[in-house]
Amino acid sequence: MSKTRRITSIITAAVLVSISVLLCSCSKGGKVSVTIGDWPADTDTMSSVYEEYLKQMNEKYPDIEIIPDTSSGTATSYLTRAISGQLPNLYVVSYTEAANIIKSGFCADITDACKEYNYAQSLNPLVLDKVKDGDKIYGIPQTAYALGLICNKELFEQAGLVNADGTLQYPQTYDELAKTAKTIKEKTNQAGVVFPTMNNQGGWIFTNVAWSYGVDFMEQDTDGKWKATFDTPECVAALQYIKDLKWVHNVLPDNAFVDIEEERKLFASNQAAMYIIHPTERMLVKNYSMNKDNICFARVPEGPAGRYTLMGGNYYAVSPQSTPEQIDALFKFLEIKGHSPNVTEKTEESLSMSMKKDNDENVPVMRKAAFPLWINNERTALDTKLREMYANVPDENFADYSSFIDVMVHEEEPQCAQELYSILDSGIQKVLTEKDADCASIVKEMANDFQKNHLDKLD
Amino acid sequence: MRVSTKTDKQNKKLSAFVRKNTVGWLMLLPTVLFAYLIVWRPTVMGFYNSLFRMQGGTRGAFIGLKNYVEIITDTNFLKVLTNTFKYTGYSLLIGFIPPLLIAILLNEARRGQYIFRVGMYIPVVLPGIAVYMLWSYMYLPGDAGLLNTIFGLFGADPYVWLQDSRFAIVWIVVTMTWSAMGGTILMYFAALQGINPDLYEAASIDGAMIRHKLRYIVLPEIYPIALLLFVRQIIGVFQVMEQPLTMTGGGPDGATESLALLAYKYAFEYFKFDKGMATGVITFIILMFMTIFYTRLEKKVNQ
Repeated sequence: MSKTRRITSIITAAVLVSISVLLCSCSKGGKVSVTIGDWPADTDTMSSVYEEYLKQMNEKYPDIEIIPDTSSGTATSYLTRAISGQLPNLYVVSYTEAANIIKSGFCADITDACKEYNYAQSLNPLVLDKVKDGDKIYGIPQTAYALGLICNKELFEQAGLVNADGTLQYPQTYDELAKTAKTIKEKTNQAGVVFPTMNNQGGWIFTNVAWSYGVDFMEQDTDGKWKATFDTPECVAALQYIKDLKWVHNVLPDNAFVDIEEERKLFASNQAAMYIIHPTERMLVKNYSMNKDNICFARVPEGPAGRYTLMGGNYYAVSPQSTPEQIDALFKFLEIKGHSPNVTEKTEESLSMSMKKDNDENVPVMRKAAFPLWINNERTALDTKLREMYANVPDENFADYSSFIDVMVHEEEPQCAQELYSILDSGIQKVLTEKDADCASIVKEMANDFQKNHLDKLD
Repeated sequence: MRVSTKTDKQNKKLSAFVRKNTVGWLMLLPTVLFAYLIVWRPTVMGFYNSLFRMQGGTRGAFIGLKNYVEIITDTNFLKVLTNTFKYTGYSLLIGFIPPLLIAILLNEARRGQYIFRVGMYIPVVLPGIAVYMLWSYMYLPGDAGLLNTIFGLFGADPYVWLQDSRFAIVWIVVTMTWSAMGGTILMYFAALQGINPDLYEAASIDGAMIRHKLRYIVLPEIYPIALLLFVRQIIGVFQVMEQPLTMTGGGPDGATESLALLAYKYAFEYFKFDKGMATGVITFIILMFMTIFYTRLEKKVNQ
């Protein structure tokens, strides 16, 4: 054999072997394989709990192979995998991204499985609507909450904002929020309140303030076209309120580029006293070692038009490539995990495991759920029982939020919500970085941009 | 018949050529395959897909140039385009000359040349995102920012840095320059080291001063590499994205948003992949014209 032919043969063999290895690795040996996203990494304390789920799955369903996938986060982190058809069979995203995910075809229609496994009948319809398009169901709600006002107990105490019974003097209106923040700033020299401005999170929170000021962001004409309707004195007043927090009351942090992560850092390190967020702020404890007893939660403040809040949370989506057998396997995994309306001994055991872990890790477990996820009595009763067992924060720290008095849950804006948030982010940044910014002209420009760049271009 | 014979001959020649270099072709195959998969195919497919209304990763209806019209008529497009040119302009102003000067100084250094060379290169090996976050903290407004703390020692009032919409791009370009300058310095330095020492010696005998050596020896010798780096810098900076994404998110009020960041937002925030790809194509076309213009100008100047 000549030298050239020998080298050619070696290279050809190498290529063939590589292809064979690649093909073999895709073979699953007759088992139904499912990839589960949002699996805790080895460094996460919850990983032991998931290992237990895996063990139980292998024992009960030996014909199902679970492949853990530690990828997690927002839809953005899944997008490239979604486009290339490489999504995990089960992945977790937030409701705010549901419309785009459904429209883009990045999730499977699981209506039949939801009905078969009793989810369609047992999940809170308000929450289930978030993952529906018409009659079809495209996800399984995992968590649900209404936004509220998180308060740093230590800073409130330092500022003397405590009632005789030991509860905090939560601000009940947006004007009171500014006053409370001012007192905290004066007494502690820390930011009284933080308002996000980046990554669409500023707009996301601002809509809550604006609704409370009486703002309607859009409406549909009789001919089906959408119109931006927020160039109004109410929206100007809401934006002026944010501007005044900076330039009149001086209660915001110096940095005007703030996202939720920055809010958490400031809050957990006692550099900020309040921000609007969901009550399931586990990260404050897990990432920033904050004392859970220092976290208090109140309802969102009331504005001139009422006390409006957005409902949010995460849900499980199923990749569109999943076969009916894989979808079935995913529902079986959720049952093992305890995320099921069907209450068995195993459900209780699995849920206990996860709540106990939270309790052991000092992650706040409230006695009352932030928002009811299930409506079937059996499951609701189990949740109540387990929360009674594992609640680890003083009730009074969450009592104002849990009372839910006067709180009106507002639906997320129906069209181009992320685009709207991005535009609102810009407006908020402008009023927080330019002292002389004119709120009326900014609102006019924002409404015009939203109409021309997004609503007019809807298909 | 004559044509067929000619074709046969050509085929034989080609096949002999291929057979003669079989190993070479096989060696080349992975590179060609990777270039096809990672560069050529995505570029062509990006342009092709931008002519459709995409639903996720699937092509929907053919819409021709509608995506392009929608992007160009966006009320913020001009601002974003201007910002991108500002990035390029400021980077040439701030980032093009200093590496050259530092390389010349390094080349002239009698001692510690190695230490300085390593020192200058260290920022290049640091992970980009870490560098941008580090600088974001240095640029923090108020008393907490490192730069404000340093300037405060000299009695200066705290400045808002990245929050100043007039100069935010400048501060980002400073970060970019600091982070990438080491590589450019090394390339200039290598070119300077390649200059024949006899030229300096001859110039010295002729009584040339430093400025004469610089004008008549150094600059002509490093001109080809300088030209290459100039074009590379324009191409690189015109596609700036990670820095504004990490440091400002494109703010304040879009003051630091670039074309590449706009493409990212279309694709990953609004799920409009067709528009994301169309924005990428627009960037590609502008860059192509700029490069052609620059090459022609350079030819004319040379003539």
